[in-house]
Amino acid sequence: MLEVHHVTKNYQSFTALKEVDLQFDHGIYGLLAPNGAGKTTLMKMLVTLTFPSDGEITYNHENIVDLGEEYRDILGYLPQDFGYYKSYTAEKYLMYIAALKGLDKTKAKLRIKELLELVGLQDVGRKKLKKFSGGMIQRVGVCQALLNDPKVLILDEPTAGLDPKERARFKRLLSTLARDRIILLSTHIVSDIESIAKEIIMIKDKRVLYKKNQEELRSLLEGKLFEAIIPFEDVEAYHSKFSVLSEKQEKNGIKVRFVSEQKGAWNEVEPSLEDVFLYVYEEETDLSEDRKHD
Amino acid sequence: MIRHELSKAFRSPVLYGLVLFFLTLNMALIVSNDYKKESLSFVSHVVEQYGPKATDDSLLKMEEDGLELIHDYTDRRFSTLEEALQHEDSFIPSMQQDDFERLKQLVLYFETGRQADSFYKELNLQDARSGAIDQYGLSGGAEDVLINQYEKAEERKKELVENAEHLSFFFHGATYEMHSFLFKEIGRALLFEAMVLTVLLTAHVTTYEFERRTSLTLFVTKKGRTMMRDKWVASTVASGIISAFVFAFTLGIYFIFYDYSGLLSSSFSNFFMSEMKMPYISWWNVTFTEYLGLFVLAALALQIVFNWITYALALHLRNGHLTYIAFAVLFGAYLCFSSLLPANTGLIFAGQFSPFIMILNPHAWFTMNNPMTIFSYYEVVTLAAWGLGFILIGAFSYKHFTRQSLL
Amino acid sequence: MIFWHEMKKLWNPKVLIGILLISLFFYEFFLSFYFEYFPNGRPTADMHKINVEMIEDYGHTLDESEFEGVQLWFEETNKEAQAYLEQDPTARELGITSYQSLHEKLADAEFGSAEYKKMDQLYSRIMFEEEVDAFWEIQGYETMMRHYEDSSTISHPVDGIEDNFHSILPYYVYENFQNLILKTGTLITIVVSLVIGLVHLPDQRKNMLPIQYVTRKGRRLFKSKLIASLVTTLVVTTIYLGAFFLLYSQNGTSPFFDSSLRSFELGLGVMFWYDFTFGEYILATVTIIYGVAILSALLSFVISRLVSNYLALVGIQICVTTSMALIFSTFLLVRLFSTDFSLWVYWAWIGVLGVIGICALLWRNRIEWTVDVF
Repeated sequence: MLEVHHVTKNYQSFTALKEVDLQFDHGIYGLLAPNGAGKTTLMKMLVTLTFPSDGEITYNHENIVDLGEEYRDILGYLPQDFGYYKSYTAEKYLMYIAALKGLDKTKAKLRIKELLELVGLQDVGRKKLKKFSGGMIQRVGVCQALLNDPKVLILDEPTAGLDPKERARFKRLLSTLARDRIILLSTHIVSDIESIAKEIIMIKDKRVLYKKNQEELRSLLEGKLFEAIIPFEDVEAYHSKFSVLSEKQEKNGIKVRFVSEQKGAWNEVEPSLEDVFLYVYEEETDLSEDRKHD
Repeated sequence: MIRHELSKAFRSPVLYGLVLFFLTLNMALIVSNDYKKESLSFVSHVVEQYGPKATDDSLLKMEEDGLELIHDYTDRRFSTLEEALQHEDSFIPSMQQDDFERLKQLVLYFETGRQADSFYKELNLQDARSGAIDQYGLSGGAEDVLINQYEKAEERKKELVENAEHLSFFFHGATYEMHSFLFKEIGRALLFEAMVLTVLLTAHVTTYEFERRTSLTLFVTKKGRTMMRDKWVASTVASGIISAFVFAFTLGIYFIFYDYSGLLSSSFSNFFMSEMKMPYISWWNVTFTEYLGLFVLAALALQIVFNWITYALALHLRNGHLTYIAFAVLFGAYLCFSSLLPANTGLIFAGQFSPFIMILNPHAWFTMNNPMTIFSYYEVVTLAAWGLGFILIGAFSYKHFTRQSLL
Repeated sequence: MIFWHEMKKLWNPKVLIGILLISLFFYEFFLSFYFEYFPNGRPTADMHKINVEMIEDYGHTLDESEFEGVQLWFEETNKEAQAYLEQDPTARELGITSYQSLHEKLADAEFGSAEYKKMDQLYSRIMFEEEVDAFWEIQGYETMMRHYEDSSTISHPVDGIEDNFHSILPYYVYENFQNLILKTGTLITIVVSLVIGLVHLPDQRKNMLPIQYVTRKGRRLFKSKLIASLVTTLVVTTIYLGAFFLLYSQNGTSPFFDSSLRSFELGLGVMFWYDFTFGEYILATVTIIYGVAILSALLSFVISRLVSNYLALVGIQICVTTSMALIFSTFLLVRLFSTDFSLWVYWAWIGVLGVIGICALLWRNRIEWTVDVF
């Protein structure tokens, strides 16, 4: 059980997170937030790369900073844009990280073989990393995080650079892993965590806005989400009256998806996670930009 | 755009720290000769009282004054200083300290001035030539080159005597070694410091985008890879500015500290300045100030050449640290290479025409005092040839760079 | 073991090649001269022979009665020179019977006269063309004997050093070693700075820290890197000093290792606070080099963690190595423990440098545990 108690993080003059409380048990947690919301700061605190200015983070009721090595021993972390040595082979690189994680050599070799197979890189283990594509590098990153079979796995935008096939494979992998561990992953791609995440955490204005399962989140918009096909000239009016989440060009007008507190002569639709995301962070989503490309 | 690149050069605090460190070293170096300062200033009085040159008239006056000084302390009457000095026991013990110092200084410049004419008459450059041939083991074509050059030197020697350049008063070289101090010790320190700053700065500006991983985004902008051309100009300007600053500051302090009044328009090729057997002789009739100006110009031009060399290296290596090491290795490798050139052809001299060799002997610039670089246009040719060479190499590297695939 | 991984990263082949090249150039330009030209020219070479013979016959000191023995050698050599002059027609013609008379007559003769020219030619022929050993040896003896006689005048009541200054240790031997060790020490400082400077910065620039610092090893990696750096420094310093002493052994100065520094030749030029033998002095300089190498390593280690780009790294390192070289050449390798400075000055500097190194390390180590990593 990993718990964040009332954590605040200040950087000199600016506050990145304010009075955050969270609990994590087994399963996958999705951290959804737009860039700059304090997502990375939260993750860095969870992996002890930086420390709370106030409050504490505990694992099994002990402060993770005090646990130190003991905590890091059960920790796996994939940072965004993580570092590697271009001139090393995948195996050599993983051997180095394994050594840092305190695995002994023979065990590490077996584990690396196993993991490379798991991510489908078994054939290129002896190739230098400089020859790897972005997706392959990302998979090596996942391997290094899993080397010590961590109880707590923290992944910062792990699907960046993966193609749709790899993404699907990655999702399956996470589901299997989640059975007996905590997985926290941040992303802005909603579909990555849709269906696999046990709970979704949304951060807004430096605070945790929601920490609910998908069902509960979707119910926030239950009965408020509608779709209608309207003529092009009405679009502006809809924008000023409702929260428009998306627009789509149809042959007899424009199909708008929007939130309204009152019912009208529109089609009520089932809200998806994406709808909730868009609705919550509405101010940050500039739909007028998107329209130009439609 | 060049302004942007310039600001990248000047935004690094380490560069300022390094400049400060170098200036501190230079000041320590300048002050290290402090003990000479007092007696050094005597020559200014000499110029003031006896005129800028050691002509027969002024020497006569010096002798008279010297004798007058002596006669204050003894009843004996001498007709020449030489005679008086043979009986120095009769007056020196009773002399006051400052009078004694004055006499010592007066005699020093008087004697040197008196020897000047005969010294140049007897000065045999052939000795210098054969000495050089022995020292460097020259033969064949190399020997011919040297014979040829020393003939030109001989002519220049005659000319300077005709111009009476050798009679200009200056700090006594054998006693104070002020030429070596200014142009060798301080000059060489300055040149190496400016070189270090130039190489660091140029490599920094040139590899800035690669080191910061901004290269891929920036090189596809409208400006795109032509940005590297701006970097070239900017780093040249920045190297020039920073070198000029270090030079100006250090030399400024130097001339405030050491009094050169009365000597600034002395002929450079004077006899007083000579420190060893061979007096300093410049290829042209220049005053000390003109020589200093030439020196600074050549020094700054040298930095520009180093700047261009570094630019070409950095454009290929695209890594600051590798560029520094490559420059150091190139420097060392060139010195090794030049020492391996055959000593029996003129080639050995061709090898000397290099900024890496030039920087080692700044006190011999524009003079005939280093036999290996005894060419009147050595400095100009070196700077022009390497400058031009590296403009071409730089331009070629740049062209190559603009068409290269960047990963 | 993470130590070996860090060692492998430090011993990066590209860096090693660069360092090897730099070392070769450095050797070629600054060191080779003192190996190739030792003893440098005549009569130094002749003096060297005499000095070595003296040690063989009389041990490491030369007391007054032994000095008389040396004077006998000198007379022998003089006789050799006389024998040479006797069979030389020009010398006979000029009435020159000994080295001394050749010298005196040459000095007295009027410059430019026919007699002068003849004598000058004779002198050049003996000394430079035929290089007759006896004549050069006489020069060597004269210098040495003059020094021995002058040594009785050495007195340093101010420094409180009293000695009979009978030890046999020539100045040129000391000077040669001093030049060599200064340059070797400087080279080692440069090499150590270059290698250790790369201990943190590349990892930081490659964004490795977020991965390294969340592993079980975590921030203790700083310590592992420190150990790897120190071991590397010791290995590099030992290799360089080993190579140096291998080359130095060719200079053939080992007969002097047991001679006291308070010799009749050295005592005139430089006086030492401690009554070291030359061998002990060499050990002292070696200790200093190890110490300064470790100091350079510690400073580079900390600097490498502090800076964020290579310009800063190299810029700061240039200041550090230049300062080191200056400290070396002022007193820490050149004229170490000489009376140029009070004895406490040396120990104060050694202390200050040590404290600087350790404080820099402890300061960064403390920060390291709580620093934010991005």
